[in-house]
Amino acid sequence: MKKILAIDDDEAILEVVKFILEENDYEVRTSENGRISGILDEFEPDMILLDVLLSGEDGRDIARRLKSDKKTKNIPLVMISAHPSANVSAKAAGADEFIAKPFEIDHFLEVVDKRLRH
Amino acid sequence: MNNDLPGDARYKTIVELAPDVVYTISKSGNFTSLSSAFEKITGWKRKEWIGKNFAQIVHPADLPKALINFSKTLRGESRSYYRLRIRSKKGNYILGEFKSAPEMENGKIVGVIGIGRDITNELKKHEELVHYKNLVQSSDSAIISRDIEGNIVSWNKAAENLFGYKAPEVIGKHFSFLVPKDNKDELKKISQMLKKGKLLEDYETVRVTKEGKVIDIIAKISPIVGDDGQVIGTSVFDRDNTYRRKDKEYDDYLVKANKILFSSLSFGVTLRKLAKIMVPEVADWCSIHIGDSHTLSSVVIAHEDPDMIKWAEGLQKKFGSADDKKSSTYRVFKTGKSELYKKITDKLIVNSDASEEQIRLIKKLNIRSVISVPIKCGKKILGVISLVSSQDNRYFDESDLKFAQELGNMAGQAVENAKLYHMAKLEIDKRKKIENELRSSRDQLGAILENTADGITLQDSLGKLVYANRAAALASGYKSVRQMLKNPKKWSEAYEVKDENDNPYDTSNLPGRRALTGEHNPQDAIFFINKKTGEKRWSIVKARAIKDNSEKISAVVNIISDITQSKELERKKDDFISIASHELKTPITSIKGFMHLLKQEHKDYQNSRSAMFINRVDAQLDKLMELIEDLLNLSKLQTGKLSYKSEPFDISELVTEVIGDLRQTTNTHKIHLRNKISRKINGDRDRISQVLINLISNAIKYSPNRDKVVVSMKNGNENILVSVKDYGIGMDKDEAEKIFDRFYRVKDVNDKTFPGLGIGLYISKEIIQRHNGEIWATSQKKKGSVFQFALPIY
Repeated sequence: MKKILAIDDDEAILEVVKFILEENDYEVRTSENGRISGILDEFEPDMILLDVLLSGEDGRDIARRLKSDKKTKNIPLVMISAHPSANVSAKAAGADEFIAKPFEIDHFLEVVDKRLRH
Repeated sequence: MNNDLPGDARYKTIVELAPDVVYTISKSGNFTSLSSAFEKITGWKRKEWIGKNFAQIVHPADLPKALINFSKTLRGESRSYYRLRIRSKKGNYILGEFKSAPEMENGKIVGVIGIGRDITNELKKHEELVHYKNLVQSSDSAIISRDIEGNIVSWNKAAENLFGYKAPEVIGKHFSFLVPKDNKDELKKISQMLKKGKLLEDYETVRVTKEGKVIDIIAKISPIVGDDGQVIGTSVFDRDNTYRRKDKEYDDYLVKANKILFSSLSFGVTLRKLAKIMVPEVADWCSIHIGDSHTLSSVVIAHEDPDMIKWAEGLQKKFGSADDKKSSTYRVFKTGKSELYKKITDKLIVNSDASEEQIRLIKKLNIRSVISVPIKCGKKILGVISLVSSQDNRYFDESDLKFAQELGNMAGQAVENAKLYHMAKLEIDKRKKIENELRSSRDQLGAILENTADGITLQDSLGKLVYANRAAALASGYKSVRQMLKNPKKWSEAYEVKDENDNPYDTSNLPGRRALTGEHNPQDAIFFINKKTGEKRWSIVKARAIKDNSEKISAVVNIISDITQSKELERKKDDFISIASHELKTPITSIKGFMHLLKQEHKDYQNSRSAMFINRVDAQLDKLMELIEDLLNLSKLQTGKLSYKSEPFDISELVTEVIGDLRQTTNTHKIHLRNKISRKINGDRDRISQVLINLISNAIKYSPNRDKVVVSMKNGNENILVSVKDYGIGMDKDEAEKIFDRFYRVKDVNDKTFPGLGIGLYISKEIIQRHNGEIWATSQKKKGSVFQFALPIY
C-alpha cells in the first residue's frame, strides 16, 4: 500500500483528502504544519501533498527544504493552492505537480495515481 | 549758366528786392527758385518748397487751371494774369495773379519762369465796397448821410420804413424836417460837436415821421472825413428806440432763460421755470408744449395769478387744445413756422371757426395778441412756446416775435440736450448694470475656479498656459499660480510620471495637447510620484477644446482631479474580493470532497431521495464555484493582473470545440454552427473561448422556451466576425448599449433578473478589447439578440 503525507493548515481539507485517498487504498498521514521531520523518518511516505499557503509558513519554503534533502528529494511532491497563479512559483520551489483548489476529485486522484506509478 | 556774371548778379538783386514773387519751375513741376517775396507773402521758407512740386501749394480747386497754364507755358506760350489761390504756411489761401513764360536755355524750353502778385488786399477793397453798399441798403437801422450843410445825401430802406419818406422825397432836403419843432436848438448842439470831429454814440432823442408821429430814436452820428481830412458831412444811424429798449430787456431775458435752460437736465423743470419768468413782464400767459411724432402735450401754463393757471389748465383738459388740429399751437408744431397775431379783434374771433363756448372763453381771457413759436433744434421741432397778451395796451410785434423765436431755439437746444443726456444716461446705466452683472458673475466664477478642489488650467490655441487656478498650481508642485504661469514646464522635472499600466507616461502628449490636435475629449489617468518626497498621487486629466464661432479650436481647458483616494479604495476593494474569493475556495474544496464521498456511499442507491439531494447540492456547489471564479476574474481585470497568452490559433477550430462542449451541457437548445471559416488569429485561446462560452450560455439562458441558438462566422475587411444569435427575450436599444457595463443585468418581462453577477459580458468586452477587437450587440425586445465580436486576422 502506497503511503501519502498530506500537509495543509485547513483541518477539513486534511480530513476529506484522508478519506478519499483511503477509499482508494492509500495509507495517509496528515500534518497541519511544516514540522514533519518525525513523520518523514517514521512514516517514510511515497508521496507528499503540500498546500502553498500554510498559516505562518510558506509551503514553498518547505518544498525547497524537501527537495534539497537527499533523503526526501526523490519523493514526488504535489502542491495545492487556491491561487491558480501560484502554479509557477510552486514548480520553481520544486513541486512535481500543481493542483488548483477547488479540484475535481477525479482529477486529483488521477494526478496522484500518475505520480505514484512513476 | 554762370551765376557769377555781374549782369546776372544784378538781376538777382532786382528779383530779390521785387515786391512780387519771381519763381522758376522745372519741366517736372518742381520749384527750382523762389524770390524773397515768397517768404514774406506766404510765410513759408523758400527751402521748404525748392524741389517740391508746385501743385502742392495751389488750392485744389484751382489746380486744373494751374496745370493748364503750366503745360501751355512749357509748350512755348506765355500766359498772363491768371489767378490762383496759394496755400500759406498758416493754412489759409492767398489770391495771387500770375504771369508765366517758358524758361529757355540754348534755344530749348527747360522750364517755366513766372511772377506772382498778392492781390488779396486789392480784391478785398473792391469786395468791401460792394459789401458796404449792400449793408447800408439792407441794414435794419436807418442810415442817413448828410453833407456839411445838413442836406440829405443818402437815405436807405430802413430810413424809409422808420420815417415813412421814400428816398427821392428827401434827398437834397435839409434834415431838420425830421426834428420836432420844440427841439430845434438841438440841431445847433449836434452840428457844433460834429464840426469838432466828435462822434455821437447812443444819442437818444425824438423824431417826427411823415405821419406826424413822434418816435423815440437812438442815433449814432459820426462825421464823414474827406481825403484831405476835412469834415464833409455826417452819417446818422437811427434806430427806433422803442425796439431798442425792448431788445435790451429781451437780451436780459434771454440771458436769464439761458441760465435756466442749461441749469438742469430735467427739461420739465426748466421749461416750467422758463415760462414763469415770462409772466407778467413779457406776456400775460406763457404756455409750453412738448411733442413727439404722435402727440403734443402741455408742459406748463404760466400766469401771474395761480387761480388763472388752474382755470386755464381746466380749460385745456376740457378742450384738449393741444391736440386740436386746428389750433395755432398744433399748426406751429407741424409746420415749424412761427405765428404772430398782432392784434386779435373781436371781429377776428367771431370770424374764426371756434365754437361759441370757445369764443366766450377767449373773450373772457381777453386775448389781445398772440405769438406761437416752435421749439426748434436744427430742423427738428420739439414743441411750441406760446405767449399771450391780455392787456389792452400790449400788442406783440416783430421784435417780440424775434425774441420768442430766439427763446424757442434756445429751449430747443436745451430740450435736445436734455433728451440726449437722458438717452445717454439710460445707455450708461444699462451698460453699468450689465458691467456690474458681468463683474459679479465673473467674480463668482473666479471664486468658484479658485476654490474648486479640481485643478483647472487654460491653454491657448498654441498650447501655451494662460490660466491656472490654485488647485492646479499646488497639484503640479508649485507654490503659487504665478510660479506655474512663469515656468509651466518645471513640474515634469519634479515628478516621475506613469500610466495606468505602470509604464512611463509621455508628458509631451498630455490630453491638452491631444485636444488641440482635434482628439475628442481626451483623458488619461496619470500616476505622479514626487521624486523628492516620494509622495504618490493619481490624477485624472481631462481636456476639453473650446471652439470659436467658426468651429476653430481657440483654447483648451484642462481639469485635473485627484483620484488617489478612489484609486486606493478601488485597490483595497479588489484586494478584498481577491482574498475573500480565495478564502471561499478552501471550504468549497472540502465540501466538494465530502460530496464526492457521499456520492460514493450512495452509489448503490441511485434512486434514493438522499442520492437526489446530493446531486442537487453538488450542482449548486458548481454554480457557487463559477460565481467565485467570475469575481476573481473581475478583480484581476480591475487590477490588471489577468494575464494573456499570445499565440496564433484557428478561430474556427475553437468555435467548433466550444460548441461541441456546450452541446453536452444543454438538452433544451440546439446549437447550430453556420458558415464555418478557417482563420488564424493571435491571442489567448482560453480567454477567447471564455468569451464564446459566455455568449452562447447567455443565448441559452435568455431564451427560455426557445430551442435554438445560431453561431455563425463572417469574413470582415481585416478581421473575422463571430456572431451568436438567439430568439429569446431580447432588449431595447438603451439596454443593448448598457449591456457590456459592469454588473448590468437584463430583466425579463416581469422585471425579474436572471441569476449571475452580471459581469460576464463586461469581462468578455475586456478580453476582446485586449485583443484589439470589438464586441457589440443588436437586439429587439421579445425577438431576440445578436452578439458579435470581431478580431483582427493574424
